[in-house]
Amino acid sequence: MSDTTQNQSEGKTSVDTFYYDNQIVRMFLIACVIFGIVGMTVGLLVAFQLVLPEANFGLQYTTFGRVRPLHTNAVIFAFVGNGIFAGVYYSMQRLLKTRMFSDLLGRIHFWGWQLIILAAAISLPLGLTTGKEYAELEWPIDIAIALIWVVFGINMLGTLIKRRERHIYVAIWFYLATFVTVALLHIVNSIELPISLMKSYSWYAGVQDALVQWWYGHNAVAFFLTTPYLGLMYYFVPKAANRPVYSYRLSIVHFWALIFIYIWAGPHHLLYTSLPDWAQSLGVVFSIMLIAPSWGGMLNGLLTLRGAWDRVREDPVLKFMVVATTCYGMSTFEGPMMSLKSVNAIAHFTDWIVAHVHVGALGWNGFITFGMLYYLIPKMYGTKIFSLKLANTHFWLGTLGIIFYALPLYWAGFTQSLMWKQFNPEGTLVYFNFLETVTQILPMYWMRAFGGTIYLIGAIVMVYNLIKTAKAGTFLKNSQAEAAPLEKGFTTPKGEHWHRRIFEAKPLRLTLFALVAVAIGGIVEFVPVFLVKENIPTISSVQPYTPLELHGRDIYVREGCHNCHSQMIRPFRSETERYGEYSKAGEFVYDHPFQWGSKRTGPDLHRIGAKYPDSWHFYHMLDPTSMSPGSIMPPYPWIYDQDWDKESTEVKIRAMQTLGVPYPEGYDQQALADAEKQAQEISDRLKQQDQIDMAKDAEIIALIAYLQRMGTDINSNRD
Amino acid sequence: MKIIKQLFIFIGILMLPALSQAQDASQSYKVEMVITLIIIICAVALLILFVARRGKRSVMNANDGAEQDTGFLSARSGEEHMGFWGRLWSHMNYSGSIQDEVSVATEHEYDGIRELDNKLPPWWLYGFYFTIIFGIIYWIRFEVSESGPSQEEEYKAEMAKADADVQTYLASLGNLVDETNVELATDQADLDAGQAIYEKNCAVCHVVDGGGSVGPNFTDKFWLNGGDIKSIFSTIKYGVPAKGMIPWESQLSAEQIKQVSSYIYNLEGTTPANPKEPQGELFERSGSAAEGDASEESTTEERAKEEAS
Repeated sequence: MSDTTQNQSEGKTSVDTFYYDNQIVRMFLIACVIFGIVGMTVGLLVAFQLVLPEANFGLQYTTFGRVRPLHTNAVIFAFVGNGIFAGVYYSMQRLLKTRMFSDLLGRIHFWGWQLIILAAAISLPLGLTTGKEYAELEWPIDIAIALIWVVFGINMLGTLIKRRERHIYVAIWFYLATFVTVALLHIVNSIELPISLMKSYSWYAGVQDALVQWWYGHNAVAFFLTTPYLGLMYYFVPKAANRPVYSYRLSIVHFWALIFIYIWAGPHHLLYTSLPDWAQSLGVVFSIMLIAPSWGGMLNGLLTLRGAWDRVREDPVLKFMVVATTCYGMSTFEGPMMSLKSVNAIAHFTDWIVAHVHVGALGWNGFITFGMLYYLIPKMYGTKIFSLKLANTHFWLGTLGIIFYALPLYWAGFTQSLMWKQFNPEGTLVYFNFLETVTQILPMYWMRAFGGTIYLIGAIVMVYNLIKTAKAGTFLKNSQAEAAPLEKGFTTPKGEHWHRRIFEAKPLRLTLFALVAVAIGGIVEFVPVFLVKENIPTISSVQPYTPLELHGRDIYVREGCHNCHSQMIRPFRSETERYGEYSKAGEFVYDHPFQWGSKRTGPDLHRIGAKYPDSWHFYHMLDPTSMSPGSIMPPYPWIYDQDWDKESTEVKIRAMQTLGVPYPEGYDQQALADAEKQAQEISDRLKQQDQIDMAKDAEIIALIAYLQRMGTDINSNRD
Repeated sequence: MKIIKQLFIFIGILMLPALSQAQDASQSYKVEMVITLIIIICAVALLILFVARRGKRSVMNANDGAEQDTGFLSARSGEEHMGFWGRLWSHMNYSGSIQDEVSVATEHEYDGIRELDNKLPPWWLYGFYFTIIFGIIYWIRFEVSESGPSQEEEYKAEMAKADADVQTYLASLGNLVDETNVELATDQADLDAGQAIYEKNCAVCHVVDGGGSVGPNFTDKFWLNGGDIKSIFSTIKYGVPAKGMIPWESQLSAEQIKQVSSYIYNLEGTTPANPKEPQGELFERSGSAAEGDASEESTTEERAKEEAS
């Protein structure tokens, strides 16, 4: 029955003529390329800063702790972000046979996103940061991101409503899952209490903050760097190869399995930390189960090329896509392996992690983006690529760049981790001086910087090639297309696959189910950690920070110390012998935000308190090599000239009270006086013991107060 | 693709020596650098080989004659070119031949993209089941039956084993040095070793000539925690955490602490460039310890001056 009505109505319906908007695609592509080059250049700068501390230029705005977040934000949200939007706007119109819902929303989306990037580029070097990795941007920018993301979502959903294609293709499933999940992640992780225009405190503290942050951080990888790019792969690989997608049912199984399982795996970033054991186990288990769903995407991509492998040799687009998909397969196998606790005990906090993410970032995201650029620019300019030779050169420079980047860092990670763990037979650490394990791997850091340089050169070659290509053609602002509109009252014919009937004809339903699928994992992990007290055993001797220590902590956050120093001593002999008693969940209950860190370029700092005299810190922050000869830590001279922010003392204490830190009622009025008193004591001590003249108002005084307090409360009842 | 994959596997295998290498990392880092370079060179060579091979093949293919785009999916008759690995791969995936793909084709078409509906590759599917079973067993072992150790239990076991190992080792050495029985080392080799340890670890705070900066001055007669060899040994071993002197027990062996204590002991009476003011109590050495060598005695006058000022 339905078949005949369909045929009849098709006969009657006139075919619409409409235009795809290429201009919005080009805008995003240009932004993608520009920010790609900028982001990679900043990445190169931080790579050199690790071997040449002079490359910090002695300026607070260009010092590693502030520039490294600039690099990660630029490549993730500016380079990849704009790449996602370009690919989505191009493919969605064509897959749904309609122009995007609104040109205006598209432009608001574009300019809004670029303004957010600009705001990030200004605020991060200024030290305006929330101190949470990959979510560093402060609250007004967070709100802007949420709004612009909603604009993007409305534009997508509107386009779906006016589509001329009944069923939605797998690429669009991934786009929709991306949209809802990123919105969820961003909003939940960014709940913070503002105390001024550009300063806020995370709503969560300690273990809870860590769990939320790595649920976010891990799934930013999943739903910003993976699912949208899988969507792009599903569009551009079959298009470029002119081959059918290998398996529809594989698409269905791996799509749902991927989004459902991915969300649970966040705790694998917190193995052997103070996170409750059961949450860690969930992270391990779901990471392992993630292998097959991830590989489903790789297989569907690679097997789509069956019968087209000869073209892979000639076509740079396919070449890039193939290596990208292979890199995706590698890192999604490696990731679950690193989630096994025994492997994680070696890999975590080392450069192995950095190598791992760069195989994903340079290989998967970078190469898919390059492939897409080589496909789209000639297409939209109605011409052929300017130089195949240059494109091939770029391919090889990129591939070599990845190898030269990743291999030395894998090596560095192994080496350093094993050095950390090596004991003499009499029970002492062989490399008890942390610095020894750093200088050992500096040559690897040099090679990594070299690999990064090659990769960047490749990208610059591409820019030249693309500009030349564009100049040779004429840009087609709008491409004409024809299709019949969807008829009303359609019922899916029997015999159709259930998934097609239930979801593919109903994009809104698919979106809602995707939201449910990703919500489950988060809820199961969060609720017990937030509500069940046993998960974070209280330690009675742990007290809130003094007002001066709070100021010092804000300086610690501002300078991005967590980029190189962890505050999490794991329960290993090699760590308790080196740093002291391992970290307990109850020690972090007043830490808004948590500062556990994820990489030890320098030693752990959780038990740094009371380890050295004040003067050690005084000299060390001024010139780290004076106390640790050969150190690669940059100097921090400006904290000796700047004063800690007295005026905000009151509001900071009140904010902490709002967040549940038990300062006595009315303490905000007393706080500044207490802070000044403590600062005076430190200043006097420096004077008396070491003849150091330092005004009590200087930031270094507050920082010393914080450093000397860190991790000491656990022992205070013994004294 | 296949070759790229093999290449990555090859590189992965090459990485393994890093494990053993790092165990023995006391050697100069140059060794590692050389090995890494060799590996990278191998990788690059392999890549070049790969390109050359592919290039040669594509030239040969080009000679095969004009290509023809036949079939509704424009597949090429790639099947014949498939080698052993290609066939195995196809077999493992349970995928039919390309010529037969019409039989698994769906009606779906999006912007010219068609979809096949091949079976799920069996190895992939069973792999998926396997990981799920692994997950269930893992969960039961660690969270339900709790027969697997929690991380705290793991830690305790690790520490207990290490303690036992260290005790066994120390027992095998015989006479143990500690703060109750330590004697001033007089052997020049010991003092040289002590000097090396001092310069590496102590000099940042106490200055290379013992004059003190962050930490106290060793050249005067005033000692905060006792100036006899046993006290110095104990101060180094256990530290004075309240004053910022860290304990060195876990970092230096008893023998090493003895060597550096003896070196520090002998610093008393030398003349540093920028002496820090004396701290602590005057500690007069008993006769036997005071018999230093000639050079030390010659500084008696200066010491007297210092004490006066």
